[in-house]
Order: sequence, then structure tokens, then C-alpha cells
Amino acid sequence: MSELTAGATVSADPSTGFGLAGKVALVTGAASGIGRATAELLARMGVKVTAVDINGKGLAGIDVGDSGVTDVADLSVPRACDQVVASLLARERRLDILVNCAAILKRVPITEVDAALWEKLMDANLLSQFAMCRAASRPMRKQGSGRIVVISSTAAFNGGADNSSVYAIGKGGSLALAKSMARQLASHGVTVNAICPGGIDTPMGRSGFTEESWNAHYARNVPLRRAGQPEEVAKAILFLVSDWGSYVTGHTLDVEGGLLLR
Amino acid sequence: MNQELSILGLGGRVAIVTGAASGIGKSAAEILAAAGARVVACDVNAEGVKAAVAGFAGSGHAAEAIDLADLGACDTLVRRTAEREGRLDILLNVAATLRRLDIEDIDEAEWDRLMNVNLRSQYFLCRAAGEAMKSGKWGRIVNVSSGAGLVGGFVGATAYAITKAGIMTLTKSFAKDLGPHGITVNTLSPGAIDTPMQRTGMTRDTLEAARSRIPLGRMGLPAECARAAVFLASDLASYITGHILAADGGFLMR
Repeated sequence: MSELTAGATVSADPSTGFGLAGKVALVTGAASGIGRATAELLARMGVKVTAVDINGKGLAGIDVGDSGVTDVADLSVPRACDQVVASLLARERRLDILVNCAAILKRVPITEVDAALWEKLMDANLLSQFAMCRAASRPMRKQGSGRIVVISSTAAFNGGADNSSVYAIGKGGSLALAKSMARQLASHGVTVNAICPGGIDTPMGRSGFTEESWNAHYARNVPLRRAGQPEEVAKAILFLVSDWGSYVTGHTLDVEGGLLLR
Repeated sequence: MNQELSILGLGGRVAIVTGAASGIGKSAAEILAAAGARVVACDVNAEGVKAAVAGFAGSGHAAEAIDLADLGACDTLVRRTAEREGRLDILLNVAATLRRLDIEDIDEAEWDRLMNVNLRSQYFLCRAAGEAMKSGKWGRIVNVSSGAGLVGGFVGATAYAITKAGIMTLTKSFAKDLGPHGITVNTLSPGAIDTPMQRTGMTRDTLEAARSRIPLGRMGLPAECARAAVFLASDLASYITGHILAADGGFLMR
């Protein structure tokens, strides 16, 4: 270790694991799709997971192990985000990992979007991510460590398929949010990264597709010739939030089978 | 073996790692071996790569002294590995050479040497490895590039930066071509990593200036970059292809 790498806490031992056991994580949008797969995978890796969603019914079936907790909240309201983090801190006294998966998608042509729809989607998708990052950054700064992942979308780069419109715009905002947070929190030992999932086999991803058009679309347009599974995104998130992602921050990681090749 | 590493799905995989005598390549080869892969470690430095392999966990590894400026050596390496092991699953193209020269001082011989070692070897290794991987319907290729390839080189690394930009494009071309066969091809784009190559031709002041511009406030360690490369070579990255993964402490924010 030299003066150039001072502060690195990485083990040179090649058999080093992911360092996730015992960590405290908050995963939003955990009732289904990528959020659920992430909450369950992290729990299997020994993380104490608080799984949050507006859909309490959907959360009921989640398997986050004995140390896992569920919390029902509407994260489009910043006060609710603060409360979710406050009640987690009251239980655990620390927060190591935040994964922002919560989002909603409405397919409306961009020229037909009214202010009410704009506000609803922006609050649910972007304001919620900002408020969660802000709330989580407070304990992480104090600890001098933390990992944040913000879920964006390939829609942020290509405008989104089939009238994703406001969703795509919000996801573009997620990219800048992640970078802005990464810049400010870097000196506190906190990494912040975005993930751009492409076509992932979730209820949201499939909305607006038939079984046939879904399969045909991804067989035709993606080098890997298939859509992705939510677990595949969860595994990429595992890398970023673990000890293995220690030198990756401010990055946008595409998990899209080669859809963009940007 | 650390059981946690089983999620990588690397047990029994056969991997070729170039540039394995030092820096990121050596560290990545060690991690692959620790995760249960059989590693063919290659380097132009015969003594260095032999010593590296002696330190690997597990068994069945091999050391290959090879100069990647020699085109024929690339095909031979892949063919010999596939014949001996009966399969090839992973290729990590880490080997590179760097000389810091002003644009005026790069002559044709220097240009050719950089292009051949850094870029041409990766192309022909990708092509040969892709062919060898097709029968298994699974493969991982990771081409190590550099942030220099995106923003131009630093401190005289001009031609080096051009080879690194070429690597990003060849990665995307191979990602398209090999994707239908279940083979992913990705670029790892390290920032300032504290390796012997990084320090080449640098002074205390230029190194400190590079460090001070990194949001995380420090250069990276070879082991950090190596883990990012092994991530891309593992089951964890099954839906990632054609991507440029930056492990740069936030330097480029991209």
C-alpha cells in the first residue's frame, strides 16, 4: 500500500468473499421484479434486509430470512422516505446498503402527457430516489462507508420502447442523480452507481407486450437473443454493493444483453 | 475454497489470462484460481508468470511464456489450451504495454509495437477463443481497456490511448457476433490503478496530480480492478455484454 492508495480497505487475498454478511440493507420496490430478487439474494448472502414497497400484499410472500423486515410505504412522499430510514436506524443503528428499485411505468405518448401524470411519475420514480438517497446518506456519512445503487433504465438512453415517455425522462434523471450523489459522497467512503436494465422479465417490463411480441422483440433486438431475468440484475447489484465493487462509483452499469452497446 | 465464491460459478471453468505476471492480470488469475477455475497464465515475462502460477490456489494451472506481438502465438495459445483441457470458457485479455512518448516521438516501429501488443493480439485472441467457446454455448471474454481510451491518454500515453479505444469497439463487435452463442464480451476500463505500468515514466508530482483528481481520493489497487474483471467473467454478469465497466474511483462518471 502506498500514499497513492491510502484509504483502500481491500484485501489482496484472492479468496476474499463479498463481505456482505451482517450488513444492513434497504431495498425499495421489493414486492416484485428486480427489487424482490435483490432483497432475496442479499438476504441469502447474509445481509439484514428491510424490504420496502407501497404494495403490502405483494411484500407478504417475500423471503428475506429471519433477520429480514418488511415495511409498507409510499416513497413518492419524501417524508415517508425519511421515516423508513429513521425506523430502520432505530432497529439496526446503521445502514450499509441502499438499493432504489421502486418505480412505476405508464405508457403514454409524450405529447399527450399532462402535468398530473408528469408529477405522479416524477414523484414516484425520481423524487423518491432522491429522497431515499438523501435520507440514507446521513448515516452513511457518519459511518464513513456505504453503498447506494439507483435503478435507471436503457430508456434513459434510447427514449424507451412503446411510449415510456415520462418514465424514460425520470430514468435519465436517475443517472445524473447517481453521479451527483457519487461525487458528493466519495470522500465519505460511499459509492453510488446506477444500473440500466434492458428488457427484464418482470410485470413492469412485460406491460404492453403480449407473450409473442415480448419473445420476438428480444430474440430480434438483443445480441444475447433473450430478455433478462430479475435475478440477473440482482447479481449485478450484488457486485456493486459488495466489497468487490470498491473502486466503482459514479458508473452506469448496463444489464441489457447488449441492447445498447453504447 | 471460500464457499461464498461458489456464486460466481467458476468451478471447473478453464480460463486464459494474459499479462498474468504482474498487476491486474496476476491478481485476476489468482482470484479465478481461488474460485475454482483452471488458469492458463500467459506473459512475455517467463520467470514472472511461472512464479505467479506457483502461488495459485488449486491445481491444473499452466504458465505460458508468450509474446503477443507474435500473431501466430495467439492462435497457438488458444488451440493448445482447448486441446489440452478439452474446453475453453474464459478469456481475460489483460496484457498491454505502455511507453510515455510525445506525439512527435512516436515512430512507425513504436506505433506498430503498441498496436500489435495491445490491440491486434486482443482481436485475434477474441476470434480464436470465440470459436473455441461456441461448442460449450457459454463463454466470457473480458478485454481490459483504459479510461485513456475514452478521453485520450495522460502524460504521453497517446498511442496507448488509441489502442485502448480500439479495444472498446472490438468488444462491441464481438459482443454482437458471439452473443447468440451464449458468449458475453465486455470491456473493463480501469482508471488510475497503482501498478508498475501506471508508474512508468511518472514522477511523484504527476502521480500525485492524478490521484488528486479521483473522487474517491485514491488510486485503485490491482485486486480491486481484478475483482471487477472476474465479476464480468462470472455467472454474476450473465446478462451483461458489450458493456464498458469503469473501475476508476469515479474519475469519468460514465
